[in-house]
Amino acid sequence: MEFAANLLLAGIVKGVIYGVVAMGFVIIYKCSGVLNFAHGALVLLGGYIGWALVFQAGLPPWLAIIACFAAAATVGLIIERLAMRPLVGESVMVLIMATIALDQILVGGTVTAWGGLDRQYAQIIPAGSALEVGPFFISTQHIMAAGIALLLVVGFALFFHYSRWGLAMRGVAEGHQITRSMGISVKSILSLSWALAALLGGIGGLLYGSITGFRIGLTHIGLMSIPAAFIGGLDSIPGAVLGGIIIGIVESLGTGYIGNAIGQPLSYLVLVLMMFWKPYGFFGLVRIERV
Amino acid sequence: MYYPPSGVYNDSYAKDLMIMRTGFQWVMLVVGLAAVLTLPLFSSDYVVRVTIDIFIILIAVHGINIVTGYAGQITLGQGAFMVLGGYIAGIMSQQFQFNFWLALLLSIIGSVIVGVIFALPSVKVKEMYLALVTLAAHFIIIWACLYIPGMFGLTWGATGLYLKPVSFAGLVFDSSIKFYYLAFGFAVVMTFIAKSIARSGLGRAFVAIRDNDKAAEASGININYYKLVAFAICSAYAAVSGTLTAYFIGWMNTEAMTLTDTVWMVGMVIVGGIGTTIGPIFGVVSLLWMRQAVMLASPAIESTLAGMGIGGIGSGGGVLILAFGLVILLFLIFEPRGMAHRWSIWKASVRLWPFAY
Repeated sequence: MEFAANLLLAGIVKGVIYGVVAMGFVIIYKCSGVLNFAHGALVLLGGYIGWALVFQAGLPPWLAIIACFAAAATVGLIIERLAMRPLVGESVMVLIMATIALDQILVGGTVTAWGGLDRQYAQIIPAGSALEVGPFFISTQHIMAAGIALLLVVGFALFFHYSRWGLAMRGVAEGHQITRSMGISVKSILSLSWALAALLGGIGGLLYGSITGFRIGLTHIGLMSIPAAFIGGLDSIPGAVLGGIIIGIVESLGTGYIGNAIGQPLSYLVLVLMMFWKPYGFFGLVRIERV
Repeated sequence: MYYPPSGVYNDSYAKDLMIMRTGFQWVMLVVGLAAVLTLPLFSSDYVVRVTIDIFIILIAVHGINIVTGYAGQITLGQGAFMVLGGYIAGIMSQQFQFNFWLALLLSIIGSVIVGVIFALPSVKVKEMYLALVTLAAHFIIIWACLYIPGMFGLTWGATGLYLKPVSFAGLVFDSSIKFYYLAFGFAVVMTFIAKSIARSGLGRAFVAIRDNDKAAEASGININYYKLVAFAICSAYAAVSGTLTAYFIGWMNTEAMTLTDTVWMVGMVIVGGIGTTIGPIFGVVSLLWMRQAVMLASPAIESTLAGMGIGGIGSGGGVLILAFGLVILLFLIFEPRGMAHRWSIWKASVRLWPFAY
């Protein structure tokens, strides 16, 4: 029982980080109707930039984190300007392939710049010690990472719901022509969304990289967050967090009770079953097509 | 789009459907076949092995082209279906001593059944959701192949399984030159089948679904049935390709085809020309040779990068991924119809030279 409770807790903590990364998927999906397969690569790149700033350039961690976020957002802006804007109005299939190509470019660029080997284990968030609360064991590092992640989620949810920019983003998701006729610049909204998504990727990379080490396998968190975003509903921010926690628990329990490699297949099995049951997720907008 | 020379008329449906329309095409067919058939006689073993790889991957890419190019559904599961096909064929031929053709048949049947099961959600959702289901299929199939046959002692776990060379009718395909002709035969037959699907009623139904599924349904096409058929065909192609891969390399494990390989195959469809039968040929040949070229150059690239103070071990592989991603993105932005479109434009301009309109 204690084993199960600890697995559950570990799953929730991990799931919150998945939720942050899944939020990046949701932001791009909301404004362009496409699942951004390059998001895992943005996580990887963000993590590596942060690592390089601390351990290669020797910046103090707080400055490195700010610089890393700025760099990640800039990467997002560049992607939007050079790759996604020429493809506005193309079919969903072309857009998906473009994001897959972007994923390859970003992963390839990261490997080219830093090599394919694992980087030294480095904590940008300090490791701290293990806390024992009743039957639970948890490290302060995990609690800190999950706390930062939760703050971000709440912040983004409020931003989307109440700010003018958030409202404009939701408008862009509905249709470009209508939004433009309301005097909203679709281009700048798309740029903003990509910058935010890349920023979230960078945050996810720093958080996850501090826990597991900086290595090419960081893209794994992108692949794990796809089912998370889907289960919650691809256009819902609270849904992304709920989905992240569900996937975190599924992965943690599966790994604990079945075997080490089961996490990813099990999460995707949940995705497939979910697709039969609720194709638009728990909080997703159900689209009904009429001829 | 095929622009025939002046004087070639489509005055009957049979003529419209014909593949070979002019005498010159027959000449080119004979010359082309002769060139490919004699290639192993005057080229190194390296070239022969890369060409075998081209033939095998071409079959899988034809499958993706049918489901993505013609039926308009995205698949990211082709590599996993190849692994599945290779595993079924390997287990059947090594553990149960079935001959090559029976193993191939069972591999196709098994792959089609699994493919249709995973395609079932496609009747409910479309486009991106389908990319997700096939991505799920990838992880689930790879996991199942890695662990389930091992539990029954059919494979050696993560090591996979070993295969004896193909042998039938007294022939043993144990050298790369012999296997070259086997793979070439399969590539020709599967390309012909792909072309025949494209020009038959089945292919037209696929195209109708791709272009406008509501209009297709209004025209009496059962969308759900045809989507499943497209997936079944795609899985069958993957099974053939996977079986050949397993026999060619002599072993099969779940590392033989990764998600990266699947992405490469989808990229080959785009670079070649989506929704044409000649496109996959262009795409596979050009991208596989690009991969070989970058791999040959990667030690030089790594030392250059090290001289600039960046990079590390494995940077050459990074350059390969980077180059692939750039090629796909540039094709999507500047020539979404791929090399096949450029090829037909070039043919028309050569034919009209020097008196272009």
